[in-house]
Amino acid sequence: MKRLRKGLLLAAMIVYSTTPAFSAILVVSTKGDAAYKEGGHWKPLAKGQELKEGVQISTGVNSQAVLNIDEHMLTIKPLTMIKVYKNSLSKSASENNIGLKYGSVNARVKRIGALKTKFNITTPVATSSVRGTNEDVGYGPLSGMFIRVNEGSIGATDNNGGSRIVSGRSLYQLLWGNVRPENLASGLRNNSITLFHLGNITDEEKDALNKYGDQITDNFEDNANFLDTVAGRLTTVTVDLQWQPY
Amino acid sequence: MKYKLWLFFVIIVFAIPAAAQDMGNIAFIADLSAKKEAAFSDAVKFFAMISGKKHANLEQTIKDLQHDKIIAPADAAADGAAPLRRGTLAFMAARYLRLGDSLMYAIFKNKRYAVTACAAAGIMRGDTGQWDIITGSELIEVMGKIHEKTGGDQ
Repeated sequence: MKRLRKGLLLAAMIVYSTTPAFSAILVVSTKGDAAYKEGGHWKPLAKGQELKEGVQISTGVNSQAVLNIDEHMLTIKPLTMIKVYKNSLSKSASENNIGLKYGSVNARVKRIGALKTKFNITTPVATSSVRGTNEDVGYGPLSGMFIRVNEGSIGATDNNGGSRIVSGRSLYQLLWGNVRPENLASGLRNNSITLFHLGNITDEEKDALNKYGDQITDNFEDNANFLDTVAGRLTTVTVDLQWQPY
Repeated sequence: MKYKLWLFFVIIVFAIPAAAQDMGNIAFIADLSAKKEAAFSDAVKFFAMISGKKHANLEQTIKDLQHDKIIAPADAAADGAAPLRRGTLAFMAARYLRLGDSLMYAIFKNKRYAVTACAAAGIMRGDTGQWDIITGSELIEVMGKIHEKTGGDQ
Protein backbone atom coordinates (compact mmCIF):
# COMPACT_ATOMS: atom_id res chain seq x y z
CA MET A 1 0.00 0.00 0.00
CA LYS A 2 2.84 2.33 0.93
CA ARG A 3 4.61 1.61 -2.36
CA LEU A 4 1.43 2.30 -4.29
CA ARG A 5 1.02 5.60 -2.49
CA LYS A 6 4.62 6.55 -3.21
CA GLY A 7 4.18 5.57 -6.85
CA LEU A 8 1.02 7.64 -7.17
CA LEU A 9 2.70 10.61 -5.53
CA LEU A 10 5.68 10.31 -7.87
CA ALA A 11 3.40 10.06 -10.90
CA ALA A 12 1.47 13.11 -9.75
CA MET A 13 4.71 15.05 -9.28
CA ILE A 14 5.91 14.10 -12.77
CA VAL A 15 2.59 15.11 -14.32
CA TYR A 16 2.65 18.38 -12.38
CA SER A 17 6.21 19.25 -13.37
CA THR A 18 5.99 18.37 -17.07
CA THR A 19 4.40 20.64 -19.62
CA PRO A 20 0.74 20.26 -20.46
CA ALA A 21 -0.21 18.19 -23.50
CA PHE A 22 -3.38 20.23 -24.05
CA SER A 23 -3.95 23.92 -24.53
CA ALA A 24 -3.12 25.53 -21.22
CA ILE A 25 -1.84 28.65 -19.57
CA LEU A 26 0.04 27.74 -16.43
CA VAL A 27 1.61 30.16 -13.94
CA VAL A 28 5.21 29.01 -13.50
CA SER A 29 6.28 31.66 -11.01
CA THR A 30 5.38 35.08 -9.65
CA LYS A 31 7.32 37.83 -7.93
CA GLY A 32 5.87 40.86 -6.16
CA ASP A 33 2.43 42.01 -7.26
CA ALA A 34 1.12 39.92 -10.15
CA ALA A 35 -2.60 39.64 -10.72
CA TYR A 36 -5.28 38.45 -13.12
CA LYS A 37 -8.68 39.95 -13.67
CA GLU A 38 -11.76 37.94 -12.86
CA GLY A 39 -15.27 39.27 -12.51
CA GLY A 40 -14.06 42.86 -12.71
CA HIS A 41 -11.65 42.39 -9.79
CA TRP A 42 -7.90 41.89 -9.65
CA LYS A 43 -6.90 38.70 -7.91
CA PRO A 44 -3.37 37.56 -7.02
CA LEU A 45 -1.73 35.03 -9.30
CA ALA A 46 -0.30 31.95 -7.65
CA LYS A 47 2.35 29.51 -8.78
CA GLY A 48 0.81 26.44 -10.42
CA GLN A 49 -2.45 28.20 -11.18
CA GLU A 50 -4.13 27.47 -14.49
CA LEU A 51 -5.64 30.33 -16.47
CA LYS A 52 -8.09 30.45 -19.34
CA GLU A 53 -8.04 32.09 -22.74
CA GLY A 54 -9.12 35.73 -22.46
CA VAL A 55 -7.34 36.26 -19.15
CA GLN A 56 -5.93 39.69 -18.42
CA ILE A 57 -2.73 39.88 -16.36
CA SER A 58 -1.07 42.87 -14.75
CA THR A 59 2.18 43.29 -12.83
CA GLY A 60 3.24 46.01 -10.43
CA VAL A 61 6.52 47.62 -9.43
CA ASN A 62 9.39 45.12 -8.79
CA SER A 63 7.13 42.34 -9.97
CA GLN A 64 6.93 39.75 -12.68
CA ALA A 65 5.06 36.62 -13.68
CA VAL A 66 6.22 33.71 -15.79
CA LEU A 67 3.61 31.79 -17.77
CA ASN A 68 3.87 28.51 -19.58
CA ILE A 69 1.59 28.81 -22.59
CA ASP A 70 1.55 25.49 -24.44
CA GLU A 71 5.26 24.95 -23.68
CA HIS A 72 6.17 28.52 -24.67
CA MET A 73 7.48 30.65 -21.83
CA LEU A 74 6.23 34.20 -21.44
CA THR A 75 7.85 36.44 -18.82
CA ILE A 76 5.69 39.43 -17.97
CA LYS A 77 7.98 42.18 -16.76
CA PRO A 78 7.21 44.91 -14.16
CA LEU A 79 4.48 47.47 -14.88
CA THR A 80 2.96 45.46 -17.72
CA MET A 81 -0.55 44.53 -18.74
CA ILE A 82 -1.33 41.72 -21.18
CA LYS A 83 -4.35 39.80 -22.37
CA VAL A 84 -4.26 36.28 -23.79
CA TYR A 85 -6.60 36.67 -26.74
CA LYS A 86 -6.08 33.20 -28.15
CA ASN A 87 -4.75 29.94 -26.75
CA SER A 88 -5.43 26.88 -28.83
CA LEU A 89 -3.53 23.66 -29.36
CA SER A 90 -4.50 20.86 -31.72
CA LYS A 91 -2.63 17.85 -33.13
CA SER A 92 -1.38 19.93 -36.03
CA ALA A 93 -1.13 23.49 -34.75
CA SER A 94 -0.45 25.67 -31.74
CA GLU A 95 -1.85 29.18 -31.90
CA ASN A 96 -1.45 31.90 -29.32
CA ASN A 97 -2.12 35.60 -29.48
CA ILE A 98 -1.04 37.92 -26.70
CA GLY A 99 -2.21 41.52 -26.55
CA LEU A 100 0.34 43.84 -24.91
CA LYS A 101 -1.38 46.96 -23.63
CA TYR A 102 1.69 48.48 -21.99
CA GLY A 103 5.02 47.38 -20.54
CA SER A 104 7.24 44.59 -21.83
CA VAL A 105 7.46 40.83 -22.08
CA ASN A 106 10.03 38.22 -23.00
CA ALA A 107 8.79 35.33 -25.13
CA ARG A 108 10.70 32.08 -25.58
CA VAL A 109 8.80 30.25 -28.26
CA LYS A 110 9.58 26.59 -28.84
CA ARG A 111 9.47 24.85 -32.16
CA ILE A 112 7.48 21.74 -31.26
CA GLY A 113 8.22 19.03 -33.80
CA ALA A 114 6.18 19.41 -36.96
CA LEU A 115 3.50 21.38 -35.14
CA LYS A 116 2.54 24.57 -36.94
CA THR A 117 3.30 27.19 -34.31
CA LYS A 118 1.89 30.69 -34.28
CA PHE A 119 2.76 32.96 -31.38
CA ASN A 120 1.74 36.55 -31.95
CA ILE A 121 2.30 39.50 -29.67
CA THR A 122 0.08 42.40 -30.64
CA THR A 123 0.37 46.02 -29.50
CA PRO A 124 -1.77 48.99 -30.58
CA VAL A 125 0.72 49.68 -33.40
CA ALA A 126 2.05 46.35 -34.70
CA THR A 127 2.15 42.57 -34.35
CA SER A 128 5.17 40.37 -33.84
CA SER A 129 4.85 36.77 -35.03
CA VAL A 130 7.33 34.39 -33.57
CA ARG A 131 8.40 30.83 -34.31
CA GLY A 132 11.19 29.06 -32.50
CA THR A 133 12.83 32.14 -31.06
CA ASN A 134 13.49 34.36 -28.10
CA GLU A 135 12.46 37.98 -28.14
CA ASP A 136 11.72 40.97 -25.94
CA VAL A 137 8.69 43.02 -26.89
CA GLY A 138 7.67 46.29 -25.31
CA TYR A 139 5.08 48.96 -25.86
CA GLY A 140 4.40 52.40 -24.47
CA PRO A 141 2.63 55.46 -25.86
CA LEU A 142 5.82 57.54 -25.80
CA SER A 143 8.33 55.15 -27.31
CA GLY A 144 5.93 53.00 -29.35
CA MET A 145 6.66 49.33 -29.90
CA PHE A 146 10.05 47.70 -29.80
CA ILE A 147 11.08 44.14 -30.58
CA ARG A 148 14.54 42.94 -29.63
CA VAL A 149 15.32 39.55 -31.14
CA ASN A 150 17.68 37.61 -28.91
CA GLU A 151 17.59 34.39 -30.89
CA GLY A 152 16.02 33.26 -34.19
CA SER A 153 13.91 35.57 -36.30
CA ILE A 154 10.48 37.15 -36.16
CA GLY A 155 8.10 38.85 -38.53
CA ALA A 156 6.80 42.28 -37.55
CA THR A 157 3.68 43.61 -39.21
CA ASP A 158 2.51 47.16 -38.55
CA ASN A 159 -1.09 48.34 -38.69
CA ASN A 160 -0.53 49.76 -42.17
CA GLY A 161 0.30 46.34 -43.55
CA GLY A 162 4.06 46.85 -43.75
CA SER A 163 6.06 43.86 -42.62
CA ARG A 164 9.67 43.16 -41.80
CA ILE A 165 11.70 40.16 -40.80
CA VAL A 166 13.82 40.94 -37.78
CA SER A 167 16.67 38.66 -36.78
CA GLY A 168 20.14 38.68 -35.28
CA ARG A 169 20.38 41.34 -32.63
CA SER A 170 18.39 43.89 -34.59
CA LEU A 171 15.93 46.18 -32.93
CA TYR A 172 12.57 46.86 -34.51
CA GLN A 173 11.03 50.07 -33.29
CA LEU A 174 7.80 51.65 -34.43
CA LEU A 175 7.13 54.97 -32.76
CA TRP A 176 3.60 55.96 -31.90
CA GLY A 177 2.12 58.02 -34.76
CA ASN A 178 4.79 56.97 -37.26
CA VAL A 179 3.74 55.08 -40.37
CA ARG A 180 7.04 53.27 -40.85
CA PRO A 181 9.26 51.63 -38.29
CA GLU A 182 12.68 53.04 -37.51
CA ASN A 183 15.70 51.75 -39.36
CA LEU A 184 16.59 48.26 -38.13
CA ALA A 185 20.14 49.48 -37.62
CA SER A 186 19.04 52.46 -35.53
CA GLY A 187 20.06 50.76 -32.31
CA LEU A 188 23.44 49.93 -33.74
CA ARG A 189 23.76 53.40 -35.22
CA ASN A 190 22.85 55.16 -32.03
CA ASN A 191 25.30 53.05 -30.11
CA SER A 192 28.08 53.43 -32.60
CA ILE A 193 28.98 57.09 -32.40
CA THR A 194 32.67 56.92 -31.80
CA LEU A 195 34.79 59.43 -30.00
CA PHE A 196 38.25 59.71 -31.51
CA HIS A 197 41.18 60.67 -29.38
CA LEU A 198 43.29 62.36 -32.00
CA GLY A 199 46.58 61.69 -30.34
CA ASN A 200 45.88 58.00 -30.18
CA ILE A 201 44.85 56.94 -33.69
CA THR A 202 46.75 55.50 -36.63
CA ASP A 203 47.42 57.34 -39.89
CA GLU A 204 44.80 55.19 -41.67
CA GLU A 205 42.24 56.12 -39.02
CA LYS A 206 43.15 59.80 -39.45
CA ASP A 207 42.55 59.49 -43.21
CA ALA A 208 39.20 57.77 -42.63
CA LEU A 209 38.24 60.43 -40.10
CA ASN A 210 39.04 63.20 -42.60
CA LYS A 211 37.12 61.40 -45.34
CA TYR A 212 33.99 60.19 -43.52
CA GLY A 213 33.77 62.09 -40.27
CA ASP A 214 33.22 60.45 -36.91
CA GLN A 215 29.76 59.02 -37.53
CA ILE A 216 30.46 56.61 -40.34
CA THR A 217 27.51 54.35 -39.55
CA ASP A 218 25.06 57.21 -40.09
CA ASN A 219 25.56 56.70 -43.82
CA PHE A 220 23.32 53.63 -43.83
CA GLU A 221 19.94 54.45 -45.31
CA ASP A 222 18.31 51.12 -44.64
CA ASN A 223 19.18 47.62 -43.58
CA ALA A 224 19.80 46.44 -47.15
CA ASN A 225 22.64 48.95 -47.48
CA PHE A 226 24.73 46.83 -45.18
CA LEU A 227 25.11 44.51 -48.15
CA ASP A 228 26.97 45.80 -51.17
CA THR A 229 25.56 44.83 -54.55
CA VAL A 230 27.96 43.95 -57.33
CA ALA A 231 26.45 43.13 -60.72
CA GLY A 232 23.12 42.39 -59.16
CA ARG A 233 24.54 39.88 -56.71
CA LEU A 234 24.94 40.22 -52.99
CA THR A 235 28.51 40.42 -51.87
CA THR A 236 29.36 38.34 -48.86
CA VAL A 237 32.13 39.09 -46.45
CA THR A 238 33.78 36.15 -44.77
CA VAL A 239 35.51 36.68 -41.49
CA ASP A 240 37.95 33.99 -40.38
CA LEU A 241 38.66 33.91 -36.72
CA GLN A 242 41.85 32.14 -35.75
CA TRP A 243 42.81 31.33 -32.24
CA GLN A 244 46.54 31.12 -31.68
CA PRO A 245 47.58 28.24 -29.42
CA TYR A 246 49.54 29.28 -26.35
CA MET B 1 -4.42 13.31 10.91
CA LYS B 2 -0.87 13.49 9.55
CA TYR B 3 -2.17 13.88 5.97
CA LYS B 4 -4.54 16.65 7.02
CA LEU B 5 -1.61 18.50 8.56
CA TRP B 6 0.42 18.08 5.38
CA LEU B 7 -2.50 19.29 3.27
CA PHE B 8 -2.90 22.32 5.52
CA PHE B 9 0.83 23.03 5.26
CA VAL B 10 0.78 22.79 1.43
CA ILE B 11 -2.24 25.13 1.21
CA ILE B 12 -0.54 27.65 3.49
CA VAL B 13 2.74 27.52 1.53
CA PHE B 14 0.92 28.24 -1.74
CA ALA B 15 -1.46 30.79 -0.27
CA ILE B 16 1.05 33.02 1.57
CA PRO B 17 2.73 34.57 -1.50
CA ALA B 18 -0.64 35.19 -3.13
CA ALA B 19 -2.12 36.78 -0.03
CA ALA B 20 0.94 38.99 0.45
CA GLN B 21 0.35 40.74 -2.86
CA ASP B 22 -1.07 44.23 -2.93
CA MET B 23 -4.02 44.29 -5.28
CA GLY B 24 -4.59 47.98 -4.51
CA ASN B 25 -1.43 48.90 -6.43
CA ILE B 26 -2.40 46.70 -9.37
CA ALA B 27 -5.87 48.23 -9.52
CA PHE B 28 -4.34 51.73 -9.27
CA ILE B 29 -2.03 51.08 -12.26
CA ALA B 30 -4.78 49.42 -14.29
CA ASP B 31 -7.18 52.31 -13.67
CA LEU B 32 -4.43 54.82 -14.43
CA SER B 33 -3.81 53.25 -17.85
CA ALA B 34 -7.32 54.25 -18.90
CA LYS B 35 -7.00 57.89 -17.77
CA LYS B 36 -6.73 60.52 -20.48
CA GLU B 37 -5.20 62.90 -17.97
CA ALA B 38 -3.03 61.73 -15.10
CA ALA B 39 -3.26 63.79 -11.90
CA PHE B 40 -0.43 65.15 -9.76
CA SER B 41 -1.56 62.76 -7.01
CA ASP B 42 -1.04 59.80 -9.39
CA ALA B 43 2.61 60.75 -9.85
CA VAL B 44 3.02 61.19 -6.09
CA LYS B 45 1.55 57.74 -5.42
CA PHE B 46 3.68 56.16 -8.15
CA PHE B 47 6.90 57.69 -6.81
CA ALA B 48 5.97 56.45 -3.35
CA MET B 49 5.49 52.96 -4.81
CA ILE B 50 8.80 52.79 -6.66
CA SER B 51 10.73 54.24 -3.74
CA GLY B 52 9.14 51.72 -1.39
CA LYS B 53 7.31 54.31 0.73
CA LYS B 54 3.92 53.73 2.29
CA HIS B 55 1.15 55.79 0.75
CA ALA B 56 -1.25 56.33 3.59
CA ASN B 57 -2.48 59.74 2.48
CA LEU B 58 -1.49 62.25 -0.14
CA GLU B 59 -0.42 64.99 2.28
CA GLN B 60 1.99 62.73 4.17
CA THR B 61 3.43 61.21 0.99
CA ILE B 62 4.04 64.68 -0.46
CA LYS B 63 5.85 65.60 2.77
CA ASP B 64 7.98 62.44 2.55
CA LEU B 65 8.85 63.03 -1.09
CA GLN B 66 9.59 66.69 -0.40
CA HIS B 67 11.90 65.59 2.39
CA ASP B 68 13.70 63.38 -0.16
CA LYS B 69 13.84 66.42 -2.48
CA ILE B 70 11.80 64.65 -5.16
CA ILE B 71 9.00 67.19 -5.00
CA ALA B 72 9.87 70.86 -5.37
CA PRO B 73 8.70 73.15 -2.53
CA ALA B 74 6.49 75.03 -5.02
CA ASP B 75 4.69 71.80 -5.95
CA ALA B 76 4.17 70.66 -2.37
CA ALA B 77 1.07 72.83 -2.07
CA ALA B 78 -0.29 71.79 -5.48
CA ASP B 79 -3.77 70.39 -5.84
CA GLY B 80 -3.58 66.61 -5.99
CA ALA B 81 -6.35 66.46 -8.59
CA ALA B 82 -4.59 68.95 -10.90
CA PRO B 83 -3.58 67.52 -14.29
CA LEU B 84 0.00 66.28 -14.32
CA ARG B 85 2.26 68.40 -16.54
CA ARG B 86 5.29 66.94 -18.28
CA GLY B 87 7.55 69.51 -16.60
CA THR B 88 6.37 68.51 -13.12
CA LEU B 89 6.91 64.81 -13.84
CA ALA B 90 10.30 65.46 -15.46
CA PHE B 91 11.38 67.50 -12.46
CA MET B 92 10.41 64.71 -10.06
CA ALA B 93 12.11 62.11 -12.28
CA ALA B 94 15.29 64.16 -12.64
CA ARG B 95 15.51 64.60 -8.88
CA TYR B 96 14.70 60.95 -8.17
CA LEU B 97 17.36 59.74 -10.60
CA ARG B 98 19.75 62.57 -9.72
CA LEU B 99 20.18 63.37 -13.39
CA GLY B 100 23.02 65.61 -14.34
CA ASP B 101 23.26 64.74 -18.04
CA SER B 102 21.99 68.09 -19.23
CA LEU B 103 24.26 71.05 -18.61
CA MET B 104 21.36 73.51 -18.61
CA TYR B 105 19.45 71.43 -16.07
CA ALA B 106 22.57 71.14 -13.94
CA ILE B 107 22.81 74.94 -13.88
CA PHE B 108 19.19 76.07 -13.69
CA LYS B 109 17.41 73.02 -12.21
CA ASN B 110 14.01 74.10 -13.50
CA LYS B 111 11.17 72.13 -15.10
CA ARG B 112 11.98 73.21 -18.64
CA TYR B 113 15.49 71.83 -18.50
CA ALA B 114 14.35 68.82 -16.47
CA VAL B 115 12.38 67.76 -19.59
CA THR B 116 15.61 68.07 -21.62
CA ALA B 117 17.55 66.09 -19.01
CA CYS B 118 14.89 63.35 -19.03
CA ALA B 119 14.98 63.23 -22.84
CA ALA B 120 18.77 62.91 -22.74
CA ALA B 121 18.41 60.05 -20.27
CA GLY B 122 15.90 58.31 -22.58
CA ILE B 123 12.98 58.64 -20.18
CA MET B 124 10.91 61.06 -22.25
CA ARG B 125 10.77 62.21 -25.82
CA GLY B 126 12.68 65.36 -26.60
CA ASP B 127 10.06 66.84 -28.92
CA THR B 128 7.59 67.65 -26.15
CA GLY B 129 6.93 70.66 -23.95
CA GLN B 130 6.88 71.11 -20.21
CA TRP B 131 3.22 72.19 -20.20
CA ASP B 132 1.85 69.10 -21.97
CA ILE B 133 -0.58 67.09 -19.90
CA ILE B 134 0.54 63.52 -19.32
CA THR B 135 -1.90 60.66 -19.92
CA GLY B 136 -2.17 57.75 -17.52
CA SER B 137 -0.40 55.29 -19.83
CA GLU B 138 2.40 57.83 -20.50
CA LEU B 139 2.94 58.13 -16.75
CA ILE B 140 3.15 54.32 -16.49
CA GLU B 141 5.72 54.21 -19.28
CA VAL B 142 7.88 56.95 -17.75
CA MET B 143 7.71 55.28 -14.33
CA GLY B 144 8.62 51.95 -15.96
CA LYS B 145 11.73 53.53 -17.45
CA ILE B 146 12.69 55.11 -14.14
CA HIS B 147 12.13 51.75 -12.47
CA GLU B 148 14.38 50.07 -15.05
CA LYS B 149 17.10 52.67 -14.57
CA THR B 150 17.14 52.10 -10.84
CA GLY B 151 17.59 48.36 -11.37
CA GLY B 152 14.00 47.43 -10.57
CA ASP B 153 13.73 45.29 -13.69
CA GLN B 154 16.25 42.74 -12.48
